[in-house]
Amino acid sequence: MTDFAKLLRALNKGHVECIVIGGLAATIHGSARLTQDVDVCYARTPENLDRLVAALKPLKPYLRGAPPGLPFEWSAATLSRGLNFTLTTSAGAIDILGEVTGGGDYDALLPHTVIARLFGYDVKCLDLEWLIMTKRAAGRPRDIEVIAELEALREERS
Amino acid sequence: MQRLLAGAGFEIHSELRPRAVDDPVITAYKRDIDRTLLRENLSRTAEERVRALQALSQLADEAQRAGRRLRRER
Repeated sequence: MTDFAKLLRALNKGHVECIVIGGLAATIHGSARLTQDVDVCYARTPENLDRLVAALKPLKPYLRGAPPGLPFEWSAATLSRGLNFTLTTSAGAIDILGEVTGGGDYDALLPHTVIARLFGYDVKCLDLEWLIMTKRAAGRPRDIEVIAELEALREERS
Repeated sequence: MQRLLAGAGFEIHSELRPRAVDDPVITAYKRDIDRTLLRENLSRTAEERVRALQALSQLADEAQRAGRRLRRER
């Protein structure tokens, strides 16, 4: 089971530049759906890769779904060679994305964030409008219900 | 217009966004959304929403474990 508070605290205590997206962002905006992981879009500057590695290292990140024993080094070098990683940690599942379909990278998403106060920290979260837009852009059939709920939330808030 | 706005201390900021379209499939799904749950969530703080998600996740986890236990015992 994913410990959302623990993962968010680790990222914030480590001053990682990242934006909460996906199901957890939907929850923050009021969604009633169950999500099992934390999705974040992270800045790919060398300094931030170091911060991300240091922040999650105590939680022993490993590639989710990969067979045990597969050589995987949790390091800035590994992150710089890839872009999007689906990870399992001692605090649960976390997806770290360098780019989001239809939204772009951290810098592109940053102007479209809201700040949510969570567990004593100010957490950047993708705003509802852009969350809907990225879900639409992803074009996954399983997101249809999610988009419908997010649009209903938008109507309820207005 | 730009000069007028600049004189008043403003500037125009523009961005490209896909035009919001009314998708009939999404509209159809929207009819089945339980809005009472959404209204209840909107009355909570963001942290309360995440704490509720955590509790729900724990419940789902326990239900899955109970199901696995039951299947093993059969």
